[in-house]
Amino acid sequence: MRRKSFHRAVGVVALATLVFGAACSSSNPKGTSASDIKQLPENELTGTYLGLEARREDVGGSLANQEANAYIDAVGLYSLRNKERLEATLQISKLSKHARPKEQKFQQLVANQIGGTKAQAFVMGGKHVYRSSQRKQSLTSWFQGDYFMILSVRDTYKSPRTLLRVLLEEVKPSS
Amino acid sequence: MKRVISLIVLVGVLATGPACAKKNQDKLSLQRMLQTSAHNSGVFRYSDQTAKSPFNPGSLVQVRGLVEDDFRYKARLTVDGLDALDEVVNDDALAVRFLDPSFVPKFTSRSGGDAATRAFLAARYWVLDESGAPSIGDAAVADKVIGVDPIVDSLSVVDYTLDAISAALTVQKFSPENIDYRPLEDPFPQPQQGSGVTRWDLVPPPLPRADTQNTGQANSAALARAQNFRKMAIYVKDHKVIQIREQIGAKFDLLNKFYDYILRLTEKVDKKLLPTVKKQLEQAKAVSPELEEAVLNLALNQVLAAGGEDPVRFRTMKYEFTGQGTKVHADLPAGPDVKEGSLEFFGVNSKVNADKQNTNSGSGVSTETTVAANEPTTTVP
Repeated sequence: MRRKSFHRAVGVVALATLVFGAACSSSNPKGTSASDIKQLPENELTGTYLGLEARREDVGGSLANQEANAYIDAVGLYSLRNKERLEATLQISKLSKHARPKEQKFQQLVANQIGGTKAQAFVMGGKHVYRSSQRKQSLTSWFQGDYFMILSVRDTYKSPRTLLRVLLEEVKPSS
Repeated sequence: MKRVISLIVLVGVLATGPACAKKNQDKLSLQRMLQTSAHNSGVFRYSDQTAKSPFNPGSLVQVRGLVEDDFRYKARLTVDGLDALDEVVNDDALAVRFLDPSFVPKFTSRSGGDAATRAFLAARYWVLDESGAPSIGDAAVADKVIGVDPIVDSLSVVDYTLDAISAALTVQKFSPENIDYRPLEDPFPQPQQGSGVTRWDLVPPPLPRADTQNTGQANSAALARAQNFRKMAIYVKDHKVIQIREQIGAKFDLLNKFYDYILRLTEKVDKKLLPTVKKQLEQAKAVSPELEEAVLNLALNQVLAAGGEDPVRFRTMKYEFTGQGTKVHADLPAGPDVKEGSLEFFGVNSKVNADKQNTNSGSGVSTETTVAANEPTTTVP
């Protein structure tokens, strides 16, 4: 039951947002194929954030079934739950050497691929974040060093911005 | 002779390309500077004034506040010189305090809201709603809430200005030496010499021809809109936008053109109306240019309304953004003057919730009004 509601709420890993082609010219470098993308360890995100418990979800099966020429080497999908109720997920992606996360244009082009609406840029706590929405959830993405994050929050959750600020301040993936 | 003509044509073509590119480049570089300034922390002041006329009571709305980042701000709203309310948004939380309780009906919906919360607001308490912050970054919502909360409007001036730049014919760097510059017709101040401030002016597109052929929607190609009446100056210092001024109006030569335009439009809509309209315009013209402008604006807005379009609101707006990049804090109020309550019936929230309810009930039309029906909206049009 838990597994079913999880997939219904957040879908699968957003590999499609990080594939080559969306954000660069015709001479795309060869990226990481889906089968070579590793899962980030369980301890990449642990503990509680605004009372929501972080737990890694196993997306190995989803990765194996996807085709991608991606900007990422590794990915982890972490659920954020209030007891058993799924309120949000955080996807942490380790970018490959082909990505250009320091370039504003690259950031915007990648962010534009996320969600059903054009991403709008905002600043929170001095960091650029990109917001878009999808059915019944809001999506926020940001770059942090060699990592790219996508936070997906249920639209009924009462404190989405506070959660985002907490994650921006506290989540520092290890390189 | 043929050779001379060819040469002229060729020179013309060569001259047009780079000029157009330059125009677009100036627009883009100005838009980039705006986008950078939009996300800076700092202090802002905003004013929106409509002139008094027989058709409009006129109003002066002022907002002053500070922005910590895109999700945290605090501001005070003043209407016609009276302090109306304070508002603080801190991530998901919204806190509101009415300084003058007579404004409570103007900025809350008539229905909704528990009696205790309404009583706290009327008694000048802060009311804090931990999850009541207005929507941000949702374009579909933003279009529907313009005019409901002037503080939210003041915070969207940059987006409004980006759209105005797109709609302008071109932008040009201000210089009193420009051959087409007319100081008496310039409503905005010149940058002081040595101040390091550069002023950029939006050049409005000319009024459309009233007899333009329809292209799709009824009369849409022939209708004048806000951009045709907009004068806007953007002041930049050290690559940051520090001030934006706007006047939407028909003055001087544009007033004469507007007069002719309305007559042509009337002729197109209904020839029989022409003598009556002409007589009314002549009467207004004899009284003052301001009344003539107000009558012309009313006539245009009637046609726009008939086509389901937003009216053109003649007004002046000023937005100043100072101390950019300095650290400021939009902290929530605390102490015995703060009461917890739901602010679903306040400002933008009331409109969003009413729309949600109407969508759920299938009507698709909001029946809620937050601003009294006979009062002008106090916002960016």
